[in-house]
Amino acid sequence: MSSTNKKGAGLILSLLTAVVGAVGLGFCIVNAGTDSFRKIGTSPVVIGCAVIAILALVLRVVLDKKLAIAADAMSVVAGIALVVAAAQFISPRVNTIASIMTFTNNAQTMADLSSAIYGTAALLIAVVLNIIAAFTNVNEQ
Amino acid sequence: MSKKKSGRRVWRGVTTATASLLALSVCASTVVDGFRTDIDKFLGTKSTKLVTESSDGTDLYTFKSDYTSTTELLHGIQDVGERMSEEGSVLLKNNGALPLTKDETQKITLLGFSSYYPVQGGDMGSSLVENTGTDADTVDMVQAFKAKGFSMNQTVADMYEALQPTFKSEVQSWGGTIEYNHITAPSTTGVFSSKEPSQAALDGQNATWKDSMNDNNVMIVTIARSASENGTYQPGTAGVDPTQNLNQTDPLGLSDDERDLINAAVTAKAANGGKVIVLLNNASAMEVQEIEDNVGVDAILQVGLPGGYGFYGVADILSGAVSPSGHLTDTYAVKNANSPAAQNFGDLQWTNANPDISMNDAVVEAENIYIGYKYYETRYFDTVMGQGNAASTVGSSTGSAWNYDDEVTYPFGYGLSYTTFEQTLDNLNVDLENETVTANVTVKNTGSVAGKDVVQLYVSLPYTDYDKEHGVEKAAIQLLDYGKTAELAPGASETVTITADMQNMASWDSTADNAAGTKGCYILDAGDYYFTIGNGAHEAVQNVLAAEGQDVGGDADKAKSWNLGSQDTTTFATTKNGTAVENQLADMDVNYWLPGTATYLTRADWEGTFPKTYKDLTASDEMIDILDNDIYEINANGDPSTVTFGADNGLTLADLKGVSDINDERWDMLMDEITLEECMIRTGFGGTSTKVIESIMSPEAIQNDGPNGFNSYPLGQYANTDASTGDPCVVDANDPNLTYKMGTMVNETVIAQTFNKDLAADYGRVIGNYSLWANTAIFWGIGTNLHRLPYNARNHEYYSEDAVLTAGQGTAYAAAAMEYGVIIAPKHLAFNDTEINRTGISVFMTEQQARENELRGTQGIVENAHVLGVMTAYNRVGITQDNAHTGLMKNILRNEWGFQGLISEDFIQNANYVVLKEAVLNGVTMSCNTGDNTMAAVSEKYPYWTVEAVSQDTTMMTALKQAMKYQNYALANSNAMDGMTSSTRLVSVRTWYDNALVAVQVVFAALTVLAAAMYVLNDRKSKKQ
Repeated sequence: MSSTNKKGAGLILSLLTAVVGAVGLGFCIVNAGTDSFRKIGTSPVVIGCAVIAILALVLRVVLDKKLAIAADAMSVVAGIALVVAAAQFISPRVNTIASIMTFTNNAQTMADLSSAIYGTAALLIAVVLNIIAAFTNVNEQ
Repeated sequence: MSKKKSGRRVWRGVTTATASLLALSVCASTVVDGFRTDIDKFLGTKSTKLVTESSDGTDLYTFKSDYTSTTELLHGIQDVGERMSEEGSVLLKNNGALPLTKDETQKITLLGFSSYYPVQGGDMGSSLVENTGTDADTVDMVQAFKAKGFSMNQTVADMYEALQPTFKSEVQSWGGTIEYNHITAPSTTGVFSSKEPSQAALDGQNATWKDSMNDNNVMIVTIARSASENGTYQPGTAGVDPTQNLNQTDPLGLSDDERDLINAAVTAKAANGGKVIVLLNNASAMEVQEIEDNVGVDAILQVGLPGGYGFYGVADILSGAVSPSGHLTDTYAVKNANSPAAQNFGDLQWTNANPDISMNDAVVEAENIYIGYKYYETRYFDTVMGQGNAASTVGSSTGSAWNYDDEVTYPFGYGLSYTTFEQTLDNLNVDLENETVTANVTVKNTGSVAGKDVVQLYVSLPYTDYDKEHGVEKAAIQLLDYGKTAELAPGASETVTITADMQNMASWDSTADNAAGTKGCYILDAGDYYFTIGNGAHEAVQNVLAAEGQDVGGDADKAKSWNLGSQDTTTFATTKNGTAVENQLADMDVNYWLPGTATYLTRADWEGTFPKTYKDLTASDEMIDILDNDIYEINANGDPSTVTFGADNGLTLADLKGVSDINDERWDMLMDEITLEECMIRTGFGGTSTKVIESIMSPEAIQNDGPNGFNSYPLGQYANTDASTGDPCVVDANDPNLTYKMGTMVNETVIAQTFNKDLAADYGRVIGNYSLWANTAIFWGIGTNLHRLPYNARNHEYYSEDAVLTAGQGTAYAAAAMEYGVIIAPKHLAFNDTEINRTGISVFMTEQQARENELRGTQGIVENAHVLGVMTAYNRVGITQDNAHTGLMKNILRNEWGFQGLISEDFIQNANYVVLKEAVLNGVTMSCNTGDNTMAAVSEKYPYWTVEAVSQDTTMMTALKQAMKYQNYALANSNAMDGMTSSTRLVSVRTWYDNALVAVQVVFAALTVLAAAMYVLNDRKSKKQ
């Protein structure tokens, strides 16, 4: 009997999650360069975890046929890494965000705030996408 | 096959989901610990509690409330709120139309949307909290008038209600947009948009609305301007919405729609025979000459921002139940934009601004001491005397020769009554040795209704050749002190004795020799001094001119002179605590750094020195070295072993409860017990409540914002519901008053307009009582910055353009509040007189200006009320961040004024701009940042703030212990210690959210393990198959 090599939704979703994660990372880096948040910057943990998550998602796709268990473990790794990245990004920014929304509110600070919001949102969306992707297969046989 | 695949898929998905959620809950724990204090405040939970085992019968509650229930407390607040507006609303014009008869109170038409949606507090800062379901529900104008038995025109009310969507305003706040029906203040970059419906809009809504005024012919028109932290009115047409074309020449002047509304009432009056009364609902002084000139307007009553109960007081005035007795605390200029101060206001950026170091604007306050009436009345004096080129066209709002009557609508201190009073300055005694001026003024009610009257004592200082040579400026008239009578019946008299502090008439001379052997001292010049009384600064200066032989309509009998034969440089060479004064703020002068840059205004030559606008300044490299906020370098110095930490001396903070002698040896013994880490964490993460220091059992003290009341938390959030503690202010958990939030008082300008220290003290008493019931010990409740200009939209949180009035009201208020153990604190020290780029702005002025204007407003409060807390400012003092300025923070505040309490920074979040190490060296005891209670968290925020580095720096360690001593001295002498004894211990309490987080973590961990196990089992099963 010949086997078919049909790709599953997990391929698209995993790669989409990686892209959204990369977008989130991009906004985080942009935010670290704004006037309001420059002093906070972005910790290596945020960048590291985001990169780990992206790599894990790629590895999931690559290893799915050859090392299934390892590939599946990459879903878990990606999920944890994305959560840690989001938490480590937003936590040191909470007080500055509160200040921007009240005492130092002006057009410039609100513009600086937007990249923080988009970055966090993108990372959290990636977490959700990753969970959905984990319920789908990269390869269907 | 598909089953195996689906099993793998499902367990992979579940494991990923539960592992992600587990990671989220673990991260949440970390975040929660970092923000625990703020989370507890938001949720009303407690993470620690104090357990007191035994008291040996000692009363643990030092401070006692005057009230036995929250009902009494709230009634007390409401009563003060109503009386504040009764005495703090200012009658500016009245041709006899007021007071209204009983019959007339049944025929009122309220005009203007602000009648129905008045400004009762700031958009941000001192905002009104609307309370319902309590024993002191707040009311707006309509509700208050109805409660007082007034009857209003419902046709017009319905018309405005239908037009409501047309006068909504939007304000950016909390990351979003909030809609208000009352007028709002512009942001620091915005413009004012008039929202008053046009006559066409009114006619379009109801074509016959004017007919309803035939019977309801007492027409009250409300014109309003709001106030806000982080808001600004830009001067002139630049501050007005360019799309509106309503002939509005200034945001604080009228728009055509407002004019048309007033004129519609005036026109209606011609037919209906009624009255036109204008209410000014504003904190910043408005341009209202055209209303004053409008003969059809019968009366003008300025009501400020009346808070939650003030409209009861306004109704009492309108009906004649009380006679108005308020007086203005600002000059109402014809054109605000022509004042000297207005020439340097706005977004004046450095050319080399640098956001990395919060370096943005530089404002040169080139007006010198001449803000408000000090400008207008001094220049008037000089025009009469024909000196100083005062009559020049420079600065004139008409383009012609400067003429007082063209420049001022209502002077500082002006106010009318329903009755008349005669004041005589019976006698006056100047006692230089005791530094007092005592004046006896007899006030007689010569009218036909009862009323209170204000006695304003002014002084005119001699302006001498010495002053001109040495750059010392003298206002021709300045308030020295004030008092108020009781209510006097017609024909009755009262003699008011005012004992003024002569320190308030000394002038700062930066060139004078002093007791410290350096330069800079307070002086009294040789010459003739005139003391006088009057209904405002203009009447006062006219009395002085009359005494000097000028025929300007003044009363020479109301002025008494005193001659000082030779210059005095010794009486005020030391402060009240014996500290020798010297120049501390020379670096606030821009010429100190950039020689020849600015010319400060001098009355010797009004024309030649009228301020130019100083903009596009460039900071030199030398200045950048300070502007970069890194002034002190932590270094190894001294002998660190001489600084003791962590000792076991058997003391807790409760052992020093009420010990007001800071030199008591037990203070140092107690401070020796504290650890270095605790000092570093508590200063770096001062937070919005002081956290517990376990080594000395220093409690958490909740901070609360003001000044219109404790408006941060509801009464019940921290109130004590445990009757077993013996707390006399214990509350019933079901008390509906626990939802009450005290953002309800009139704004500070109204409090100042009362000119009544006793009433300010009454407010202090309700504040103090509230602090006991609410268990909120720290209150940032006295706004003491001056009204440099009306254009600062945050003027509502400050009293006046005058320092002596600020100090007088603030001192009475604070002293009364402190009897109940509240740490009531002035803010902001100092020079925070604009909201534009307030975080970072460099403020430049002369030292004389700094000391005699802004600082004098706070100095009296510190020296006389002995307040235990101060909040500092966002701005820079010259080029030095406020908290890093040793001259101000340490040498003036701590040394000269003898301040011994806690100091908090304002809400500065940028770690560089917090200037933590410099601030601690200057005696600042906490920043406003929060975080995890660990050195790791603090050092992450401030990389230089490590135990390794600081433990080698004897100077820094000594400063840290001193800061903690001040902080805990304040707490020990406050009601934060109520309920505590030396046996009190801190116990950690797991909150519901702690338990919830742990439960979630356990559940997700278990699910993750289970799902992973199922994944493995499924995989093995599929391989076997």
